[in-house]
Amino acid sequence: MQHPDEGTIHSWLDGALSPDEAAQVEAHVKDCAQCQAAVAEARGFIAASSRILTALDNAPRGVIPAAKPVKRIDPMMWRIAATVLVVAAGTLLVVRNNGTDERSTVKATAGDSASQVQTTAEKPEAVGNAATATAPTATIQAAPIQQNSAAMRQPPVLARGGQKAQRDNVAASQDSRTDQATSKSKAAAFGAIAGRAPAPSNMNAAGQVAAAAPAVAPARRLEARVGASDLNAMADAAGEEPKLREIGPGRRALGEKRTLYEVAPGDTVVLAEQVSMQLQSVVVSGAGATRAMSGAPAPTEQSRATAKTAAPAETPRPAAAPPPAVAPVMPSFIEGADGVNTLTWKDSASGNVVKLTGHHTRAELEAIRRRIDQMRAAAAVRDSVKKD
Amino acid sequence: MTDVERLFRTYNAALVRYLTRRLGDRDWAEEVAQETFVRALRQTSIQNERAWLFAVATNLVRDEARKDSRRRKHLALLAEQERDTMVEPEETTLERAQEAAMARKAVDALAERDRLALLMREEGLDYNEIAEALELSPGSVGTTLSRARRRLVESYEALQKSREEREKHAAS
Repeated sequence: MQHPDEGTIHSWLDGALSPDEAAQVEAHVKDCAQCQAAVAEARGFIAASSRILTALDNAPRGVIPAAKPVKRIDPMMWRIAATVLVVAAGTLLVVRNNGTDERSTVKATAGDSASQVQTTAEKPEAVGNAATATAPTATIQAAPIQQNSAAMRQPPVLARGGQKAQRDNVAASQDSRTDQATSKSKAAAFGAIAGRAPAPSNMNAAGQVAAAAPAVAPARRLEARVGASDLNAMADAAGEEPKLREIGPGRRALGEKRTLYEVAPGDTVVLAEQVSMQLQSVVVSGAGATRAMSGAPAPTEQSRATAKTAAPAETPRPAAAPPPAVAPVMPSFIEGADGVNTLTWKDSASGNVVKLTGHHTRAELEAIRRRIDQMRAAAAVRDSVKKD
Repeated sequence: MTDVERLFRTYNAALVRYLTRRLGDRDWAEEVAQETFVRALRQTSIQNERAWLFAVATNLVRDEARKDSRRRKHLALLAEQERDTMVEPEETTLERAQEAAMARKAVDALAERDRLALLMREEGLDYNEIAEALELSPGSVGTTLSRARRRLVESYEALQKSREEREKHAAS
């Protein structure tokens, strides 16, 4: 047999040859010095390469990241969520939604978070801490939403806990790693905004509480800034009730000012206030009242439009200003057709006869009336403070 | 597939070692090995288990390598890893790290087929299995292996030599 080639020698050493072939190679190598050297070399290569390859076994781990497990939400995502919510909150401010029953998701999650922070909220210093707030931010609009929804479930807790509670709320929500990226994280994002948003620095503690209380979104916040102690009481009172949303003046009739309130989404009542005044006064006071209620600093388009049709009216007055002489009407209840009922009473502040109409029972209408009264009283107080 | 658990117990260690040597990353190797066994699950019958597993694992690596982004990420992380390991001052660790780096270089210098055949052989695959996994003729496996071994050892020794010279140069 001629000299086996290198491949055959390796095959032989690896035991890969058939018995016949192996016997032939073995016989040849026995008598061939050259092939013995080749076999020795091959053995060396086999051993050396094994040794070299062993050095590869200390390969590092984690050079390639495994499929990423649950990861904490990127801070950028929070920012995006915050932005989205600010926009959403802005929309909500336009389409005010003060329902007591229908706000299922937001209210439920906010309610959960509120209960989570209940213990911390109980601490008395929470209110004090809350006063040391951060600078106002662009997200300020979002705050009332969170406050509202959370407070509806747990009004006393939030009112007392103030922003401290909300901050804890944020922490709690963020800690719950949000795999359930849906409602839970939405609530967390809400908390994030509400926690950061805050508190014009001139607020005192009382005002802070008022702000944290559910209140009538922006209007109430304005009161909070005023910071009167009686507002505090009012805010507390309001905290017990879900809010009403004034969604704008209804049709205006002569000698009557109508305001549309939304009790729940799609559920509205009409408040008709009989004003025995000159048309001019009606328009002007209507504009003033609207402005006061909405908390908008500048006269609205609408007030300008109505002022155009009326005589010049440079100094708007609140509706409460001139008490007209109308015979007092005791609270009365008129059951109308189609379940549309009307509650009539005399406004204690203005002395005007006020009618509240809606698809509600008497008890409901009376509850709504109480809330409207509170709102109007708050608006009146604010207005008078502003004037001073 | 009859018994994946048995397959796993029998071949996982070898497969992971083979893949680790091939890829230079233990986690990646384990990932590919797992995927290999998952594929085995879907098979109704496998003629030669070991050859099949190594072939599938090899193909998975090859497919993986085509994913450019993955590769780039790998390199970026490798660089990061290297920076991290730089901190280790221990002589023995450094020595071993240098050996591993040279081994890596020497293995990477091989032709793909030579490298795979050699790595498979190191895991105990016989010539027929290697031929089957790499779609070679059984007669050429010996030649392939002898070439791979020689080249691996030669390039490793060359690297070792140049390193010694560098150290000598640095010392003088």
